[in-house]
Amino acid sequence: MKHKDLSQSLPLSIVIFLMCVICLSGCRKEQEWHAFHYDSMRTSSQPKSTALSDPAKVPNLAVRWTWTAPAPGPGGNAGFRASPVVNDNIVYIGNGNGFFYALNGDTGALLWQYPSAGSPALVTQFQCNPSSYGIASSAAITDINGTDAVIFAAPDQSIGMHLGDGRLFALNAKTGAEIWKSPVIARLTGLTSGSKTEFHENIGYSAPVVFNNHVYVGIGDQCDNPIQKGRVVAVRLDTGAIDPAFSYCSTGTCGDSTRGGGVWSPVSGAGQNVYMTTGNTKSGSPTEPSPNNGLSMIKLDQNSGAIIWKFQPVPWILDGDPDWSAGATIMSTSCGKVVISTMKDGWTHALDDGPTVPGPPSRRWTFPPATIPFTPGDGTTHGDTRYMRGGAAWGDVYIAMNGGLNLTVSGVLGGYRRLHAFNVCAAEADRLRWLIDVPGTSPPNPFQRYYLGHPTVTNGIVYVGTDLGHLVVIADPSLVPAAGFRCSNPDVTNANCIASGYKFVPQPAVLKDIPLSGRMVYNEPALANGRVYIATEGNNVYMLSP
Amino acid sequence: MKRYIVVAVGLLLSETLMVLVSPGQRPSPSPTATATQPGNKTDNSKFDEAMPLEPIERFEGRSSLKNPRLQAAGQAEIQMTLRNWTIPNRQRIDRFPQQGFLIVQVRSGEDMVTVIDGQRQKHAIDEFFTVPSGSTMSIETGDDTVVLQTLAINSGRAPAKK
Repeated sequence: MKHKDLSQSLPLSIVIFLMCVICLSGCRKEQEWHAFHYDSMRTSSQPKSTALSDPAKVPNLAVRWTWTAPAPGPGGNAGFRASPVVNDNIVYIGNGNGFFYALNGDTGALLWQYPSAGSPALVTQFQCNPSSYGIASSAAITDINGTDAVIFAAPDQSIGMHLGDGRLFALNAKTGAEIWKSPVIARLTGLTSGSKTEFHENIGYSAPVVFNNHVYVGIGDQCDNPIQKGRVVAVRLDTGAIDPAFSYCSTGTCGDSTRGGGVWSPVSGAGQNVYMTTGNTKSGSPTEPSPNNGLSMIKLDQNSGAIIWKFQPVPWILDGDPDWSAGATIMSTSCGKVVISTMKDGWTHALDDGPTVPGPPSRRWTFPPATIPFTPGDGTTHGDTRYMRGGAAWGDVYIAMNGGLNLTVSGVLGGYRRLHAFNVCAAEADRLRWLIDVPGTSPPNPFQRYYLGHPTVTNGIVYVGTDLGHLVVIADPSLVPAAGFRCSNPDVTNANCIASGYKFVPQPAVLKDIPLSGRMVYNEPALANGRVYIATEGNNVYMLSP
Repeated sequence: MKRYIVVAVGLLLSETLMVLVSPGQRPSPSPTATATQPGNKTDNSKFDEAMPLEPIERFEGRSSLKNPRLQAAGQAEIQMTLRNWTIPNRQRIDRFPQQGFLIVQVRSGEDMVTVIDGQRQKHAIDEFFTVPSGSTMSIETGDDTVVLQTLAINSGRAPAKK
């Protein structure tokens, strides 16, 4: 029997009503911002068209509300280093004061906080840089047994040695009630500087990712004092219990005393795999650990943690601490799935996702172009520099900090204030799509390293925060005519550009430059439901809309 | 490398004149350096066990200066050594081992202090500074690993000509 079309059996008004209900729930979800860098692939990209992706409306962007976090109590530090996530018009974010907040997306009114007022804050006793100031890790939205939940990582002095071991918390997204708390994930067993007998692990900035019915999170250290064995831990989404079947350690075996390869960055997930980047292994170690998975971009089996491939551009002998601080972005492009990230030394590496069984990855390109792996005689330096922010993916375009074509000649400082856009699938000659020195940043200063936060993008419109507290909006030249052209090598004048063997690239138009209050170098603008939510180290959360 | 040579030539002339010809005078390592004050000593607890320094050799070569006075003194021959040094965080190096007149660039690392002949100075990334020949330089690092590139210039007597 042939079924009648539903629309023929129901009055048109009911069909329209049902479609609206479906759209209000489903379409709305797609416009939210459920994770740090938007999704498990860490694309930092809002795909839905809203006013934020309309160049004609962006100039009307203005602050609609501001919420200021309470002053920190004992052991806390003011300021947001985490970034907001958004679900059902509720904004979730943790603060350096050790409290996690849920705010009304329309008004900024506080809906709930965790722990409750008067309870001990989620802070650690080992504080040496902002990665250990209260809650530095951004949250993730998920569903646990039919309940909307928000998951975040934080130090907790109620467990372990009571110094602030790192663990995961899953809360009811509507009420803030606990669903589960994981066991200790990052061990802190002492506070002795340089101790090789104590664990000084830290979850830090590694935002958890929900994927494969698990929550994955990376383990780093407390400002290399001393470096710890980098790990990725998987906990079961339904219970918060650590899954013993999944195991990844960056050096040696998980049980030996080798160190390094901290996972500072947000772990990514796509297909059947987990991806991440790792930190240094040489600091304080007289010999190279074996295996050494430090300073690498890595693809793991999602169930076992076994390495599928590893890309290690900087060998141990050149390890001057260029921790890989930006995570891996998984891009679905016209040339296939590409895994891409900028290392702390200023080079951006794009890999074909490649095999699903263990084997070497295929490098698509490196920018600035280089022979990989680097070698002691190639004139490059790989140190503790500040190309630390994730990139944003839009179609075949990747927007990120990068050292630029002058990196090895002019040093690292010039690129700290600059965004590059890359044509991921193009030929080498057309790799660079545009570049811009972002306005609203401090003048170059050798004693200052942080100028830009993590960029995000929606349909070609790029949003980024700056060290001077500006939110800057930039339009891809395919949407708005470029403000001008400049030489692809930023050190070369336009007059000498072609003769020097370089080409002109667009300098995109700035659609809006809004001064806010507080540095935004750790933060990303969350682009949800046609609104920008961004937090600052000035202790404020802002909502802006056109 | 090219910029090192340019910097080196200029600095070398003044250095050779001041150090080799007038050994009683030495240039200040930096015009903004400040003398170490009593009570301003470093806290030993800030530093870990010393790690061995293992530089990466980038270049080594000899050259001759066309300076009649130096040639007459048999000091026209110089040796240049370019090295990269990676110094872990929380280290104190009491005596930096590279000898000679040094041109140093901080390639990475936020938190580095040198004490050159008692003068204490914080250095920034990409900064160049010099260390006179015969001076003592100690280095302290904080929370960052530091990468230095040094160009050492030493005088070397040219082989005797028959």
